[in-house]
Parts: sequence; structure tokens; C-alpha cells
Amino acid sequence: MMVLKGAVKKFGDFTALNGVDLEIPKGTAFGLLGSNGAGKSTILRLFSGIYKQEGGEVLIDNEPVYDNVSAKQKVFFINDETVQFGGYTLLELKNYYKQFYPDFSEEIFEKLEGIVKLPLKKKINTFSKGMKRQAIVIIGLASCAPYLLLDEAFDGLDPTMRIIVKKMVVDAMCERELTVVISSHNLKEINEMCDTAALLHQGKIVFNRQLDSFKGNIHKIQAVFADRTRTFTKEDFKDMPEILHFSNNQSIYHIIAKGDEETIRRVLAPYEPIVADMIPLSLEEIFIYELEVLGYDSKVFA
Amino acid sequence: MTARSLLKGMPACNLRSAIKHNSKIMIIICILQALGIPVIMGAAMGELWQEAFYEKNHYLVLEGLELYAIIGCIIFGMAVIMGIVAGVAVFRELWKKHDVDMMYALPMTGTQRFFSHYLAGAVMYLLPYVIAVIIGWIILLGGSCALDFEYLDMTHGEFLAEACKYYLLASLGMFLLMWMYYTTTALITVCCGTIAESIYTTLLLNCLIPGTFAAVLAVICDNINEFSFEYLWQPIGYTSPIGGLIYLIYILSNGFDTYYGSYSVSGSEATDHGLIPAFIRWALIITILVVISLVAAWKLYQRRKAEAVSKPFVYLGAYYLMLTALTVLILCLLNTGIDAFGPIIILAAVIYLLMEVIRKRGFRRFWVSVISYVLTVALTIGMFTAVVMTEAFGTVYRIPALSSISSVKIEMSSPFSEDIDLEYTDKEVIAAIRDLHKELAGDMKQYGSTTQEINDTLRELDYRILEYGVAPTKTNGEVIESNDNSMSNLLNDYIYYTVDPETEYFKDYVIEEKYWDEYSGSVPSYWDEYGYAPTDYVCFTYYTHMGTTMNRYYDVNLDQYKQLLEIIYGTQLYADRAAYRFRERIKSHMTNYDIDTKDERIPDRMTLEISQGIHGGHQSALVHGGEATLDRLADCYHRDLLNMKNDEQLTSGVYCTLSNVVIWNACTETIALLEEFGFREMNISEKFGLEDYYNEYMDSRSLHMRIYAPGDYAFGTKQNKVVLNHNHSIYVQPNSASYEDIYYPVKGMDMEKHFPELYALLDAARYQHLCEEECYMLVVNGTWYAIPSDKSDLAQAVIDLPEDYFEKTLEKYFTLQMQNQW
Repeated sequence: MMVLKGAVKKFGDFTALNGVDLEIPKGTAFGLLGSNGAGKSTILRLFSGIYKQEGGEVLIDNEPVYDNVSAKQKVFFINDETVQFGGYTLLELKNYYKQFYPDFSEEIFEKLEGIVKLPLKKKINTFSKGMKRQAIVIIGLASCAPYLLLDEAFDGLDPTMRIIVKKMVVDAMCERELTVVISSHNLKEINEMCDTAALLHQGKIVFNRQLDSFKGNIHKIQAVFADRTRTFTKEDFKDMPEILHFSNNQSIYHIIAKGDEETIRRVLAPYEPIVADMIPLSLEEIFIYELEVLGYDSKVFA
Repeated sequence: MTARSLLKGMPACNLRSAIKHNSKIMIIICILQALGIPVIMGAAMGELWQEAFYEKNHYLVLEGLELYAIIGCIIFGMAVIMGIVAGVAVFRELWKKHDVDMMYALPMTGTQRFFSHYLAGAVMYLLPYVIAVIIGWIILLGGSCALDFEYLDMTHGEFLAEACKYYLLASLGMFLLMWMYYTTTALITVCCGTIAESIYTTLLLNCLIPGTFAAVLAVICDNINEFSFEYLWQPIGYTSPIGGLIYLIYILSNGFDTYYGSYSVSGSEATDHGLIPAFIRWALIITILVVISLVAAWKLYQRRKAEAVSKPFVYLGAYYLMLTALTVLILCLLNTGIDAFGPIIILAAVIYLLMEVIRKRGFRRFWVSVISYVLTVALTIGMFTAVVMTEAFGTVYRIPALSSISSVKIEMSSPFSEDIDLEYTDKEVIAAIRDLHKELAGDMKQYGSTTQEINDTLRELDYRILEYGVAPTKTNGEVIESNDNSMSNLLNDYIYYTVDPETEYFKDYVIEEKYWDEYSGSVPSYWDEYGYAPTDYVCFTYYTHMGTTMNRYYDVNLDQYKQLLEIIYGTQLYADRAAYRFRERIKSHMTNYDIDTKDERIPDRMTLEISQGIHGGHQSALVHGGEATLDRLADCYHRDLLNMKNDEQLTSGVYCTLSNVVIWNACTETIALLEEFGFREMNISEKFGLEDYYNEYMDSRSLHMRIYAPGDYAFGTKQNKVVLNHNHSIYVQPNSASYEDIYYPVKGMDMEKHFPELYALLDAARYQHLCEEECYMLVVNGTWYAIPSDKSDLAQAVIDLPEDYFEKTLEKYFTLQMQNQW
């Protein structure tokens, strides 16, 4: 299990993580969502032992990570850059990482390499961006580290290769209880791959739950009420658990609210809705509306 | 982390990877090293081979070897400089943002990561050097087999012993310096977050630390006379690789010079003592410094955060060290004079604040920079002032304990021969020198400053007579005359420092009315020849058992000078050195050097020439025996020096000079040998050159003579009164009709018969004479002689002669001569 306990990380005067608590159980596909600078990459770098926290604890399987070889051997971190591998051939890179990861599997490497068919003896800096990504992902998977951390790792892959790489990761998850932590702005990707996600904003976790649970827990309601002469306000529906968004276009009301469908319908019922369509939100919409509540929305440009 | 864990597994892999990643740099270093030391060694061996070949065949076959050596040195220098590239490149995660995630995420501890990178760089940088040194050994050992040692004047074994020693020390020393340079680069790279800062800070600090250290020492030595930069500079050898290189060259060349410039007369063996201990001490300290730097780099690396990359300076220590060194270096220019104060303060401020703006990437908190600059200036000036005011916190007076001294070196000018530069290991001599040093230091402490010492020494000159070439001053009416620039400088110094109102009047005369009398008070030739000034510095250098050196300069008064000379003159070492130099001097005059064959041989038949009297006559004699005769002369002189009482060299009259070396009357064995060669003691006329002295101003043969009574002359500050000036006494106009007739009789005139009073006085005159009270002084044709006190009556007798005595006597003589001719 990967654990952050009250983790604090500062960069000079800027606090990137402000007492974050997070638990990522083994075998989970965990998505990290958040605005730019929210602290997603910082969390990944804390888990991979690159950064040292200023406060709190960062644990992998109950071991602190920073400067701890055995804990770091359980983690393979792939970031959004590939320039650093340019001087190696794929074979050299494989042999290099093989020394650091005792469970490195030649078999997996050969199998995955056989799928993507990358040249083994050409310098990686001659590869395209997508090929570089594939190269490091197959090495990460072949390392057999129990925790794979992917920071915008699918950038640069063409749609076909994106599917292939994702499948590789998913297969590994299925085969050996691989824990994958994905940080991405591509919410569709997280939606597809992750079963749990956390939303970060300004160094704090806004929510952290299973995707299925909060997909059914936030609803977009499109309603028309019987009394068309009356203008309803947000206050009229204060019994709803939480309204993330409220607007109307003449007599048509758009509400985005948290809570189960039954509760929402019960709150709407006294106002005699003629139409009350409840549409489950996509992850992208959830992301936008959650952050809007926190003051992070496109209106800042208005 | 053990060495085994470092060499195996992950760190070893990282090490290999770092080398592989920077293989291009290593290849360049390998190429440079391959063309460096081997080429230099090849050129050196070629030169030696050629030397022997030329001796044998008298023509050159290998030309331009120096060029190869120079090119080899330049290439080797480039290889050495590559240390900065290797050091910065292997720690790329410290300045290259792309590499941070990859490197820090690897399952390694910070220690493993640091040492694997450090070792990778060390291998890249130092391994090619080690291989080049090994190739150099092969060239040296293999090449030596091809040398013709018969013509190199040494055996194969001797050559190998010396060459191997110097090559080993030089290569080990260079290894340490390269290691130091590389480790310093690693340390500074850890302190910086960008490649630009890493490189320029490394280069600047490597130059600035020794430069500033030297400048500070120069300022201190300039303001504290007892300290000498010549010795104090040596700690620069530990400040940086550049300083270390200078020190390494210094100790190696010193050892080399000692060996080949040594003498071996009467058991004094040629040694290179000091080279090995000095090298070991230096190497040990450098190693300790490198280890400290390495530990510092490691600890800072461990503390350093991954996110620090791209910050110009991660640890500000390196930056402030550089900034302070630069500022202090500029402020040292303040020592040039008060006029420079404003411009230097402004220059330092501009550079300081500019550096701050570059570091901060702007003008944030600029007032902090201004305050820190003001503090730096104040602290620097305050420190200099404190050091100078407290005379380096009292270290000027410190003398090492007798038990801790292994040897002491004395450097001073000598009135009789070349400068004294002797190192004593004899405990008794060390104790005597130390006691005198103690006295000097005590006197100085009492007076409070060395300036006072100068004043006192000059006052000594008012009543002390030591005719060691002191340029006298005299007052002739309103004019102060002096003929020697050094004396004039000394007097100016004196006047500059003086606080005595009695001597104030003197200032105007000397400074504003300098008048150089060209002939009547001419510079004693002794001055030119031996360069002795009575207030010259004496330098004590103590070498302790711990391998440290302590060096002090003092100016001494005549008593102290005499005491020191008495200690030195009584030693075997002095006799050895003086006899050796005596032999070498004669040899250099006698050697027939064949420019074509480079053959340097002492001829079997040689003409020795002696001089008696300063402007006196010369004698020459043909002697046989070549080297053997020289040995006999040197041995006699050596025994005479040892047999002479301590003060005899100061009081004994001069018999003659041979190849400019003084032979005292007390040198009985040497004089006996010279007389065996056919030399004889000259008569008074010959000694004083009365017959041959040609006065170019008067265009005549003349005797120009004066006598000064005690109290009527002065060296330094008193007015002189001319007691007797018989400038025209023995003087004949050149255009006289009887010139030819008169000239020869004058030359052959029997002084003892015609001027018995004068003859007796000249006989008593001493070119050098030490006495405790003022005595009569005689000036003959511009040269000063002392009349010993017990012969004062002779001087007074001449003074008391009637004024027309000389003219009448001459007239009588010439008349007689003319009558005889007719």
C-alpha cells in the first residue's frame, strides 16, 4: 500500500502539498486529477523517492521511501519526459534498469518488445516521441516493480499504440496485482483505466473515492416546474446534499448536485417538476464542476 | 556503504553507465593524455640522448625537441583542465532538469549515487593520466638504456635514481593536484544548480583563492617588514590546484637546484635535503584537504534536494566565498596608496553589486546587498588594520623553541664575499643564532617599531666607523654630497621616518640639494662590489622537526651585525661554502670554454692575478697544475678560514684580492702559497696606486688626499669639516713643458724617503677597520681608509706639517731630478 500521511512539500515559499493524506491500496488503478500545479506530480515524485517531504510521512508497504533502496525498488516512475534516455539504446537501457530492479523480467521485456517492435540497438534519441514512451513503458512493466507511477505517460502515443500500451498495463495489473498510479489531464484515460481517483487542488485533496461511486453520486438535472411564473433560486433546493452548479434559461433549470438520485428527486418533488431528467456526469464534467466550486473555472477570464 | 557494495550491483552499474554516458569526454581526455606526458618524456629523453651524441660526434641530429616538449606541455595542460568537464558532466542530475527524475528515482541511496558518479568522473579523468604516467615510465626506463652515460658524466644507476625520484614525485604530485581539482569541481557542482554557475564558479574559485591569498600576504608583508613574502607564500600551495602546482614546481626545482648547485669541499656533501619531507608534508596536507572536500561534497549532496536543480546557487557558501575573495582581492589594491581609495572602493562596489544582481536574477532586496558590501569592506579593512597594528598578533616576535628547531638558515649580505645563505643543523650554532634573534626581537619590541630600529642604526653611523663601503657624506660649505643611491635612499627613508627635531634641518639639504660629487668623495668600490649596507636586513628561517618553516626579517645595528658575523665566521659550514666559492670564482676566471665542443676545462697553465689596494696595482703569476692547484688554493683558504679567530675577518687587514675574493693578512697558508707562486707584498705606492692613478678630471697623475680628524666627519647625518685637503700637493699640469720629465720621477719617487710622514700614515691606513671610537680617516684618491686609534699620532703629524711642506718638498725633488737629467 502507498500511503501519504499529512505530507507537506514546499518549493521555497510555495506549498505544493499541504498536509495530504492518501492511501492507495495494492492492485488499485489510481488516478490523480487536478488543476495545473495542484500537486499531482509532486505526489508521484514523493512516492518514487525523488522528493523529500518537509512534513508527514511517505510510505510504501509501511517503509519510508526517501533514500530507501528496498522501498524504491518497488516503484517504477515514468514521467512525461524521455530526453534523459536519449544516450542509450533500448538494450542498454534494459540492462541498466535490470541492475536496479531485482525482479526484472527478461521474458516480459521480450514479450512486450515483440509487441511494439522497437529497434533494440538504435539510440533512443533517434526514436519518435511515441516510440520513446513505448520503450520506457515496457521497461517499467518488465521491471516487475509492484508500483508503477505514470505521469502523463501516454502523451505522444498514437491512438492505436495508446490502446496497446494501456492493454499492456492492464494485463500486468491483472497478472501480478500491479498498482498503477496515473496522473493525467486526460480524464477519459483515467476514466477508462482507473477504479479510484483523487482530485487535487492547491495542494489538498478535494475528493478521493472510487470512480463508480462518485459517477453515480453527482447528477446533472434538467428540470421544468409546473409554476412557470415563479423563478426558483438555489436556496429553494437547499435540502439537496450539495449543489455544484445552478442556472436557468427561462423556465428550464440546470442543476448539478451531489447525492443519490432518490434524495434529489425527493427535494424536487414539492416544486412539481413537469420534467426532471437526471443525467450522470462524465469525469470531465465532475472535474470542471468540482473545481468551479473551489473558484477554479473559466469565468476568471470573463 | 562499503567499497564492496559500491563496486558491485547498482552503484557499479551506475558508475559504468556514467562513464558510458560521458564516453566522448573520456576519449578526449585519453587522446590528450596520450599526447601529453609521453611526448614530454620522449622529448626529454631525446634531448639527453642528443646531448651525449653531440658530445661524441659534435653535430646535432634531433632538432626542435623543445618544440615537442612545449606542445606536450600545452596538451597535458588541456588534459588537466578537462577535469572541470568530467566533474560537471558526471553530476548532470545536479544541473540538468531532465535527468533529475531518472537519477533520483533509481533505487539507490544518495551516498551510492554520489560515489558512483564521483568515481565515474575520477576514472574518466584520472585513469588516462595514470596510463600516460605508466607510458612515461616505459619511455624513461627504456630510453635510458639508449643513453651514453660516459658523455653525460654520470652512471646509469645515478641517472635512474635521480630521474625516477623526480618523475615519481612529479607524477604523484600531479595526480594529487588533479584529484584536488576534480574533487573541488565536484564540490562546487554540488553547490550550484546550473552548468554555467558550476563552471565559472569552479574556474573563478580556483584562481581567486590563491590569488587573494597571495594579495593579502603581499599587503601584510608590505606593511610588516619582518615578514617575507618569499617564505610566507608557501601556504598558497594548499589553497588550490593552481597554488599546489606552483608549490610543487617550487619544491622540485629547489631540490633540483640544491642537488646540481651544491658544493662539496671538505666533507660538505651534495644533498637535496628537504625535498622528500617537504613533498610528503605537502602531499599529506593536500590529501587531507581533498578528503575534506570530498566529505563536504558528499554531505552536501545528501542534503541537497532534487528540486534545487536550475537554481544558480544551491548552497550560497561557494558564491559568497567567490564574492568575498574577489572583493578582498580588489581591496588589496588599497595598499597602493590613499589616492586609490575612492576608485578602488567604487570598483569593488560595482563588481560586488553586479554579482549580486546576477545571482538574484534582479534587484530583489538590493539594500541587503549594499549592506553586505559595506560590511565586507569594513571587515576587510578592519582585519588588515588589526593585523598590521598588532604586528600579526605578535607573531613578529615569536621564536620557535630550541628543541623544536631542526635547522636554521641565515641570509644576509656580507662585507667580504657573496651574500651569506647558510643553513645550520649544528645545535650550538642554532642556539647562538636563536639567542641573537631573541635579542633582536626584544629590541624591536622595546622600540615598538622597526622604524625606530632604522633611526637607531643610522645614529650608530654618526659615531661608529666601519669602513665597509659606507658612502660618506660631507659638508663643503652649503652642499651635502653623497655618491651612492642606496645610501641616499636610506637617508631619505630615515628623514621620512624621523621624529628627531635635531635632524630636521638635514632634510632640505638631502632632498632638495642633492649634489653628487664625482671625484672628491667618490663611491668606495667596495660598495659596488659587495653591495653591503650597514642596515641591511638579516633573514632568519627556522625549520622545525614538525616540518614547518618560520621566517623573519630584521634590520640590525652594527653590533648585532658584527655578532652575527662572528657566529657565522666561526662555523665549518661557512668555511666550506666560502672555500668552495673561492675555488669556483678562480675556476670561472680560468676556464677555457669551447663554444663548439661545449668543453669546459681548467687549463694546466693559468695566470693568476691578484690586486692589492683598492685602486692599487696588480700582480700576476703563471701557475701550473690546473684543477690540482685550485684544490690546493681552496684547501689553504679553507684551513685559514677555520683557523682565523672569529673577529679576525673583521679586523685583519687585507693582503690582496684574488678573483675578487678577499685574502686577509690572517690567511697565512693562502698567502704562503701565493708567495710560492711568485706573488709578493706590494709597497705602499703600489698598494695605493699612487704611481698609476690617472685623474681623468685633472687630466694628470696626482695624489688626492684628505685627512678627517675624529669628530670632523660623519657617515650619515653629521656635518663634516675638511681638515686637510692637499689636492694640489702632488699635482703637475699636463701641458707643462717638463711633463715627460717630471712624470717618471713622480712615478718612481721614493715616498718613504721624500715623504716619510705620509708613507707612515699610508702604511697604517686600513681599508676595513672596526673600532669602538672615532678615529682619523684618510681619503686617498676617493677611497676611504681608517687610521687605527693607536696610529692617530701619524695622522696628526701629517696635519701638523707646514702648509707648504708638500710643495716645497716636491719642488726640491723635481729640481734634483732635473739636475740629474741635465
